[in-house]
Amino acid sequence: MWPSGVLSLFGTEIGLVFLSLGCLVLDIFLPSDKKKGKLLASVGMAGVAALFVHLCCQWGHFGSAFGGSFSQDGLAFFFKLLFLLAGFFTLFMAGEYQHHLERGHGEFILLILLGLTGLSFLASAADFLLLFVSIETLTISLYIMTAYLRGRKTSVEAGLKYLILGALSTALFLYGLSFIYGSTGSTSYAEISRKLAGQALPLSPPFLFGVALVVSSLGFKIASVPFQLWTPDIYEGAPTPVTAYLAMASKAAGFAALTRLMLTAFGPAQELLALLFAILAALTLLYGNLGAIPQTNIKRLLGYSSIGHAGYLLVGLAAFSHAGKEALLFYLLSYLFSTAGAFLVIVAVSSRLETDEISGYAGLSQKSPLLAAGMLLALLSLAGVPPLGGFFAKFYLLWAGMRAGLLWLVVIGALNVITSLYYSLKIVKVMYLDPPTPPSFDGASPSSGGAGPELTVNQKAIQYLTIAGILVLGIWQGPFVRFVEQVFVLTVH
Amino acid sequence: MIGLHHYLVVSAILFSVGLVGMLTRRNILMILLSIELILNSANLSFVAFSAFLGDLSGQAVVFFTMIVAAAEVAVGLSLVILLYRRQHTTGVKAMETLKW
Repeated sequence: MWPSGVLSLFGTEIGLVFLSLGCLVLDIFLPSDKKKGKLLASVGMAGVAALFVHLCCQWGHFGSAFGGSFSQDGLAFFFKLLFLLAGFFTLFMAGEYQHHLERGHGEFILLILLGLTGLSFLASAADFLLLFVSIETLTISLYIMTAYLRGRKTSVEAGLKYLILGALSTALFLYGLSFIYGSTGSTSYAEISRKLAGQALPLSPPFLFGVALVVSSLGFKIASVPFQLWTPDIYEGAPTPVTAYLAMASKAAGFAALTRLMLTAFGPAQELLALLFAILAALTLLYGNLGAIPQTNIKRLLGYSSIGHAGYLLVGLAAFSHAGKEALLFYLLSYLFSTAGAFLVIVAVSSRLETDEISGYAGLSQKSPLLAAGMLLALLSLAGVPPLGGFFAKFYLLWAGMRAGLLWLVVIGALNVITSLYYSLKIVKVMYLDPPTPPSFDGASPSSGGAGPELTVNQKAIQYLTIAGILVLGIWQGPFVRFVEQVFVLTVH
Repeated sequence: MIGLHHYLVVSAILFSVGLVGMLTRRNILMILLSIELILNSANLSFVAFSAFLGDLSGQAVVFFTMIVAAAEVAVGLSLVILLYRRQHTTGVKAMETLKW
């Protein structure tokens, strides 16, 4: 296997490492200012787009390497595409965000790319050791990025809080892993499931203890109750592109790891875990959606909303064997486009207004119809309004829950759509019905009668891309549904 | 004769001390130290299991853990320094701007 095709299994990872190194070298030789940040962001975006196309051509070229600890299969393929998309959007936002940074313009881009490398390895990890190292590659980059606005108290505070809780979750993961290792004698998923298949069924308590700790550690990543407390604070304090990265990529990373674990190493404990996930899903849904109602800061509100979405995604894990896993992937895809749309607007608005308060969005529809429309579609898709991607994703997921016999959970999920619609429409009302606040800042051209953030061609193009994603996933889902089904057909169990 | 259980009990004690310290200490440096205790309890149980099973891969994990822990602490301490420069304290009270 080694000589011929094995290197091409790592195409994405090798590409990302070289891209990061290239950015590092450029970072050294160019003078440090906003322009360099923008340039590096464009280089990064071009590289990520090229890798995306390259990966698309690799469909079907699957296999495993390094003694089975790295496996390139359907699931890895899907999550790599997802992470590359998330990285693309984040890099664009980082380019637009450069003027908020005082220093380290190039390193910001570098950290995003390094995090993306970790994500890409994580998608393929079929061994706890590789999973651990790739999660840490991602998280340590995120700690630094969260605290990147050194001049702002909130950013440093958010970074430190994220670091303390993240390190705790790492420690729990390792302690749990040591018990899984102790009871099965291996850290490889395939080896563990082979060992467990040979054993009599009541699973040994040390193994279950280990599973519980590893699941709680991943629960921290996906922001599920009872490990959700960090989310609103960190979402509010972090620089906006980083918040978007956390929402789009870090959450998906937790689900990527959990999906693969449920298919392989945790397979024997699936029924037990399904019950646990169902209970957590209900609590997470209620916490996230009810907590979002009184929020006045849009990033904090999206933080609570992202907890709510973790709840929906957990329904997919609870209904894992009944189409829940396909619905989970589809939901992640639709969530990616909706979140990207919302955060692109937040970046564009904050570059003119210097505020993330919802009241600052008053009259946005008159100042910039495209931004208001982008936000409207993203919010409605997040809430789950019919013709949009979010609606079909929720429908698919709750239908899977219904088939798994989780009627009570489906009812809670459906009721929470109403709650999330309420707080989304509150923002829509501010954007469309409230009169614009008098522009108190410089740069407002008096002739245009309002300070519209003027959009560049690129900004418009990316905003249209997310809108297209939201609409296509809602109206023409067929190919995507077949794609996620195919993903599991081509995944090694 | 010292067996696997002795090591696991010590590791469990380290874990509990770390967890309690992390939840009750009011100083960020002490919290970081407590996290190190938990990480090392995991290392200890890895090495114990590895010796018990006669399998070396558990000891390999420990090396990775130590490297990752070092990287995490490097970032953590630099963030504490940032906080100290702004607030002149390393107490958790300094972290109350965002609703915790």
